[in-house]
Amino acid sequence: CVKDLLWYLFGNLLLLLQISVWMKQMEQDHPDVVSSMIYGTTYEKRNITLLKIGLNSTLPKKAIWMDCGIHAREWIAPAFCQHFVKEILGSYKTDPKMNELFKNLDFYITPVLNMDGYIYSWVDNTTRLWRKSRSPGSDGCTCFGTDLNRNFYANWGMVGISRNCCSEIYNGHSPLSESEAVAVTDFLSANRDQLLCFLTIHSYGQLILVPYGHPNISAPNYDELMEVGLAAAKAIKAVHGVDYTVGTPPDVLYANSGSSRDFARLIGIPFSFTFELRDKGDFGFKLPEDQIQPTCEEAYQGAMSIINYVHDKTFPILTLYGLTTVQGKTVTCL
Amino acid sequence: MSEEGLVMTSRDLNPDYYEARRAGNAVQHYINTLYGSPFRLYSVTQVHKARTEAMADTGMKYFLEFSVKDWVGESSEWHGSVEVLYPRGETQAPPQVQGSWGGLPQLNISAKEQEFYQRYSAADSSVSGKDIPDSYGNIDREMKPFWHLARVAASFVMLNESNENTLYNMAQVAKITQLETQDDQLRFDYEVLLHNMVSQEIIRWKLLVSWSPAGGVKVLETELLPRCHCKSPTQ
Repeated sequence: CVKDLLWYLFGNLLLLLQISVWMKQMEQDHPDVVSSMIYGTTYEKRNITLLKIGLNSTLPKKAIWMDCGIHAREWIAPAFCQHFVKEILGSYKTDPKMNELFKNLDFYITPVLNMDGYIYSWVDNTTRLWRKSRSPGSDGCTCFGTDLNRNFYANWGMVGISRNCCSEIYNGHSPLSESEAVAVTDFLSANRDQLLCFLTIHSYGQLILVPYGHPNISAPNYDELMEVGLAAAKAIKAVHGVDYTVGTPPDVLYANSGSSRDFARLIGIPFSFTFELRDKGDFGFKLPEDQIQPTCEEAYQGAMSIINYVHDKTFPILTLYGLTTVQGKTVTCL
Repeated sequence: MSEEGLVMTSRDLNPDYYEARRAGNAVQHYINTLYGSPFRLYSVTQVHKARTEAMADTGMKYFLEFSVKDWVGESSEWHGSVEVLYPRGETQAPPQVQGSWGGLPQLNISAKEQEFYQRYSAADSSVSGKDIPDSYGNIDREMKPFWHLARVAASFVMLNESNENTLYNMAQVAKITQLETQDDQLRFDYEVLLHNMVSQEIIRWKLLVSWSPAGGVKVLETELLPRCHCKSPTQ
């Protein structure tokens, strides 16, 4: 069907085969800056793979994490990860700012985290709206799947979850019962000193969420996170006029616990955000093709706004006068 | 604080935060039950101001100033104000919405409605379809008015099911079957999937819907369908 082809050409992520083919292609086309890493397996024993993107360095580098598709039905998210990779690879040679990012940072990008759920959502029309992993229920519960974004060791089970394994927000038999959540946890833990920024991409709602999902817990850098988030929302709006709301989940959406974003912040990754991409409910998870490109374009500017801020804060540029410049503003004398 | 102040606590809300969003969502459903059509569908685009007041015996009342537009007809945005009362109680009951809608943009759609009505009231008309939109968000041009009609009909259910802990959108039309026209009303059997953002659940409803330009959208019967506990396909 022509429409299926259009989605395929646009999003270029069809099934497991296409995903790995695409990732291999990126490695082959840009061998000097792209390598892939398998950092875990799904319940159904598929590899969880990320692309490591950046200029090679003998010294350990600071890094940015991005993952897409932790929730299977949020198809626009993996499409965005793909768009993001394409954009940065397409500009690092010619754009001095991007080149600087590639020099100072590594990007760790997981295009599809919940591989099992994502592939299941492509089976047919009855599976399209699947959200969770594909692990079987336990303790006699016959339903499948755990909400991966409730399964992390971050106030696990405290709020915004269900103990009914048939629920869409079932947080799992126990924290990190899901191998996908374990994979991310292990990687983040091993690389926490390098990681500056954690971005996790979802849909829908047009939101930028800052930690924490629990109403009574505040991130120590909440003010800064909000400032950075609001700047990202402004950058998003500048592209196609679309409004994204910024705030903690209890403020703008609903309380929750056990999310990957909260775990990242808890282990000390200072800038941790959830993106909820278009739309606001007209099409919801089934975003039409003509909105894929504009959604990706605006989200890209939002993500880059955050990444540039984080980079410039970490790698301030020294000017001739011995003044430290952060994001173009003169800050202090050394 | 006076005794009255203790009983009726009024609280200003951030209009971007969840309380105002959920109330605005209920208002959207309400407006669509009144004025929605295969050629007209409203979206609350923004809540500008919000306030809530506990009504001692009756429930929780929200006062909103908001913008809304008919996005099918691409109308201009209209700025309105509304009161939403979520009733107190253990069992689900719909919020009561009060507003004056005289200024709501109502573009002239009678020609479109008449043409659509004439086309599908023919004796042999038997429209049917499934999975609208499809997995990729596509909707056949011919099916768009039926999709709009489904969203209006779904608004009745979504409004009925709304409370302070819900945020409903229609995820898709699973099935549509045209039934025999009766009393000059087109009639359809719909199966719709609703998404509740707060619980993240997909809820299936069967709706018997009638419509005509004169009669508007009516939901004659509703039936909550059981969850689909789909088994893992063998690999």
